[in-house]
Amino acid sequence: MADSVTQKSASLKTQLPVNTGYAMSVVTHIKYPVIGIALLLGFWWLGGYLIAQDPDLSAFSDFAPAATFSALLGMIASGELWPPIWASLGRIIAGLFWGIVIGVPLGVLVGYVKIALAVANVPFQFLRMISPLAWMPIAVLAFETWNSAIVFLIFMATVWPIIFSTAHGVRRIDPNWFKVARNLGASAWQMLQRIVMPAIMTDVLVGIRLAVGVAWVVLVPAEYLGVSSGLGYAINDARDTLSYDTLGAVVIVIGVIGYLLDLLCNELVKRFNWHIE
Amino acid sequence: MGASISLDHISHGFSKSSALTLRHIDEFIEAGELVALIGRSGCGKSTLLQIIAGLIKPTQGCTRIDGKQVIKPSAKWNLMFQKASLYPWMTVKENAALGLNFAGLDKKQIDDRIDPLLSMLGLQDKKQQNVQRLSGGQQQRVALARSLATEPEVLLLDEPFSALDTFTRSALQAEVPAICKQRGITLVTVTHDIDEAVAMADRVFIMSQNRGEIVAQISLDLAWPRQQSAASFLAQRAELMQRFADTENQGCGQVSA
Ligand SMILES: Nc1ncnc2c1ncn2[C@@H]1O[C@H](COP(=O)(O)OP(=O)(O)OP(=O)(O)O)[C@@H](O)[C@H]1O
Ligand SMILES: [Mg+2]
Repeated sequence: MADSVTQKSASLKTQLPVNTGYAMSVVTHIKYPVIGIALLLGFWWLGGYLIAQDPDLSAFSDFAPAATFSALLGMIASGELWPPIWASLGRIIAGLFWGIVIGVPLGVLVGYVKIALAVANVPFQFLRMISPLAWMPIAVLAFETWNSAIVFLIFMATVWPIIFSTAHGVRRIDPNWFKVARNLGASAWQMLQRIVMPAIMTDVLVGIRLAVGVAWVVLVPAEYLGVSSGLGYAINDARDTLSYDTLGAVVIVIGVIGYLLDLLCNELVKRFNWHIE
Repeated sequence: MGASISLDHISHGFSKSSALTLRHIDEFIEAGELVALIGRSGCGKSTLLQIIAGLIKPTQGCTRIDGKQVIKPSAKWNLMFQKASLYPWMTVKENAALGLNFAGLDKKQIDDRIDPLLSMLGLQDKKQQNVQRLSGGQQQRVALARSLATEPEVLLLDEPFSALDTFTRSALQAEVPAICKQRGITLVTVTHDIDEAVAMADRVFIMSQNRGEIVAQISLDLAWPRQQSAASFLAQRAELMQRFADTENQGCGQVSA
């Protein structure tokens, strides 16, 4: 009986692409997002229109959708869009790397050792609530280059969600999983690699997803300072040169990349999620 | 192949303040012998099994397997828990093969051992399935496959078949002792079920609720494989029932005295 059920669902799957019902379901799935995006563009256009009508504000009229998109296309065509993107992504990846390298082991420690949790809880909660940008003056003193100072700020933004989420995952581990594995002759390394890491993988990735969100938000203001590359710098530069169409284009790029990063993290979470509801 | 188990003056309390869960357990189980441990819920059967496996350190005394003191768990002796405790991120086959994987066997060696084992347990169609999608009985069979895969010398089963349907249960009640006899594995089965005890053991230990002791034991003089409907089987079952009732009455007598 179980076989007939799996066969049925398999055949359903293979039929779906040729089924008109499938096309319909795609339409219903994207219908609302499309309405949402259209509304957003509508308000933007309206804002641009009102600004253009007001003589005091007309200098900002390039901020409207049409000008912004033509600036965006121009930046894509000339290739000047890519260097700031790579610079910003590089900083995110570097900060996230340190956030993971330091946050995951700390999270395991805090989740596994009760005393460590008791000791670390208050300081961690306290530090977590400090905006990473507040560390800027210290970071600038502590690091030789602005670039490493920014990576440090990103690290400060990413490490907390990773620690807390990892610790949560560790606390959810079924103690019997350890007993069974020890009983099957697992070495400490095998226990870590085959039992602990897959067990907490979902939670670690959820933490990374939160971290990426915070990091991306923190990155742009961090890049206002000192450095001469990255999307934050591009925004600042566009403001200084009064090129509001470029500024609008960079804002769009920031939003799109942030959205894509989140989508990517969410795919990773889904890919490694073994919980079946 | 099998190994003897000697329980040397084992006593155990979970905390200093509470009463002892196990008291002065002193038994010897021969290599290749099949033993069943029966007793009411909460009398300490699971605790004793975990002590034998080296997963709990007893307050006093020790276990020796083949004369060597057990100080930590090992793949040579295997405890199958009451709860299947499978790893939800692994398939049926990966779960079953985990011990071999830890031991560093290659894929072919693993296939050679695991595939027949899964077929024997009726899981050949489920190899690649996620274990979360299995029924309770199927999960229990995967856990059994995982325990048998490392070819342990001692197999400790904690109410292994309680989640199974009657047919699968009685099949496994015949199958598991047969495997143990064939490979010379020493088997200790904890059970609530008198029929299971008679079907799977050469000797049955009866644990008392109040005192945490093995208060009686009975050797079963029945041929293998056991025929659950044979008159001799039923007679032994009745005898075991009687002995169990006797120990309970003794216990009550002592409590009221
Ligand atoms: N980790 C523990 N900490 C404290 N007490 C425990 C612990 N594990 C078991 N106990 C207690 O020890 C006693 C024996 O428990 P055990 O699980 O060995 O019983 P059991 O005979 O296996 O019962 P059942 O047949 O219900 O499985 C029980 O009273 C139980 O409450
Ligand atoms: Mg028990």
